[in-house]
Amino acid sequence: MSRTAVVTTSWIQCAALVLGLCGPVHSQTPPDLSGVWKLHGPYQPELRTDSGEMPALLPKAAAIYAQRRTARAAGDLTFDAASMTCVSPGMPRLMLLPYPFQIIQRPSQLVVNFQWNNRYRIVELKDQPPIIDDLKYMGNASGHWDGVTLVIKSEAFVPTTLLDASGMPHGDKLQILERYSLEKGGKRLIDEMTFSDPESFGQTWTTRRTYDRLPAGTEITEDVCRERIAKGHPAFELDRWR
Amino acid sequence: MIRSSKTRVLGSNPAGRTHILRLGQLGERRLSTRVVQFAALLIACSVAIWVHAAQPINGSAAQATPEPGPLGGADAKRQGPLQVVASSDSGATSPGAATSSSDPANFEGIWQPDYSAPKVQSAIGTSGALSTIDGSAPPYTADAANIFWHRVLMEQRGTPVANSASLYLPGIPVAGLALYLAPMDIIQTHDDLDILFEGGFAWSIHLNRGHPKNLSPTYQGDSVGHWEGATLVVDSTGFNTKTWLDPVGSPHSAALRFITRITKIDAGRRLEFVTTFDDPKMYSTPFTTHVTASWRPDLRIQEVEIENMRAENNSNLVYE
Repeated sequence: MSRTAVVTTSWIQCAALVLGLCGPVHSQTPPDLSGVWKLHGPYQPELRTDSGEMPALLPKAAAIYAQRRTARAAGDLTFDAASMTCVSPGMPRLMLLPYPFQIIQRPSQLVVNFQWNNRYRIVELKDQPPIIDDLKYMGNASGHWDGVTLVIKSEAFVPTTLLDASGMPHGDKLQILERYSLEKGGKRLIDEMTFSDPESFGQTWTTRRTYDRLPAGTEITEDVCRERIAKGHPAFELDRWR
Repeated sequence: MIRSSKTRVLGSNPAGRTHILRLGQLGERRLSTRVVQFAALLIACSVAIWVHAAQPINGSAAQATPEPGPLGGADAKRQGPLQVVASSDSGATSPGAATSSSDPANFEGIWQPDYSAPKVQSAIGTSGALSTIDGSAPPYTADAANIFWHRVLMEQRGTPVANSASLYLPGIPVAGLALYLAPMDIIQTHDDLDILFEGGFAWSIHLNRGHPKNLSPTYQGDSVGHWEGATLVVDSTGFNTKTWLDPVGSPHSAALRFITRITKIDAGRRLEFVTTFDDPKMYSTPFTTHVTASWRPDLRIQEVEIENMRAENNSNLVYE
């Protein structure tokens, strides 16, 4: 083989190598999660693990949860401030509802506009450590892309919120790690949530929810929970959105 | 758009080509073919690894996503100067920048409404009442004046009339600018411009449609916007009558409609809201108000759970 041929071959190899290595970069361009989404499948008022089991609640948390589940079964929702006074259900409960929500994905933020009482959640996507300045109903959320998956870490939650409508408790050391990804050509959104809270759970546990993309042009509309309550309606009109 | 510029280095950046050409010239200088091959592979690997490494480092959605900027890429809907306004790259802002995006039609980021001393103080208790851009009282009709002074009197008696602000219910978004001085977060896409307020409310301005027919009245109404140069012109209507135009008691009817012209001023350091209210039942002529907000990239909006505030503040309200 002539020297020219060898040099040419080496350039072809080099180009192939560059293209080969660069390929995954382009194919893993983060997707756009923007759109209006709604829970796929039935609403589940009780959080369970991926395998359908009760999370490993520590004794104190288990006792509180059992008490609240009993109360709820008897129609007593006084343990649930969101149902009684429209205070924010916070995370993850807003993501469990059958109410739609809108995701707006921007360079340094991802905003989620929830239909329920028009609450919003801001996820910082800046390339900086998260700023924890206060306990929040939504937690302090920061995210980054892991290939085509958006990983959101939320922490510093107000400890009075419930993880589900049945009253699963948590403490202020709760952390939720969410992994958002698209399926079915962008028509489905998956949120895999992993919970850790040394005061409430013996071990971390994971569950997931699937959402359907609603047709283009679907909008989040004004929703005033207080007006519902004033009329004697429930804070969460689950049947309306099922 | 850091990543997109790095991608261009690999794809078509002239500097990259020059670099490779120089390596070829090294071969002509009788360096061993193996050395050239090794060096080329090493550089290729380094560049490739650098690109891979760049992805998580700069892994925010926008840096990585070939997404149109807020401008939607100088789209056809825009008229005038905006068509020469640049690509999304020019819309980027750096942390701590003294001014907002260099794109005059990119309002994204944190802004804080500016305090301005009340211009109209016709009587005790009316501080904070709506005033026009030239500092006069709005042109109340006789009915509106009666309602306004009744509300002032009730406040002075210690029996304030309940309204959406005192009840922590949603209000007319542009009125909230003057009422709450907390920072607000503007999120802008091709289809929407959303202004997020502390307290959980947002002003959603639809850029891709007109007002729906048979609009149901709501607290926040329906807002649609279009660009006139670098000014966003917002048309708002469809309001219920449970809100006031100010915290003192300026009323409005269901016929309320207003146009808000939002423009960057002071070289991008401030955002100006000029609103012309039109409500013939309550005001004898249209009148215009003026509010500004300052660019505050150093701030974040805080979560304020207003549902917790009601009980402590509304015990003496009178519901009319």
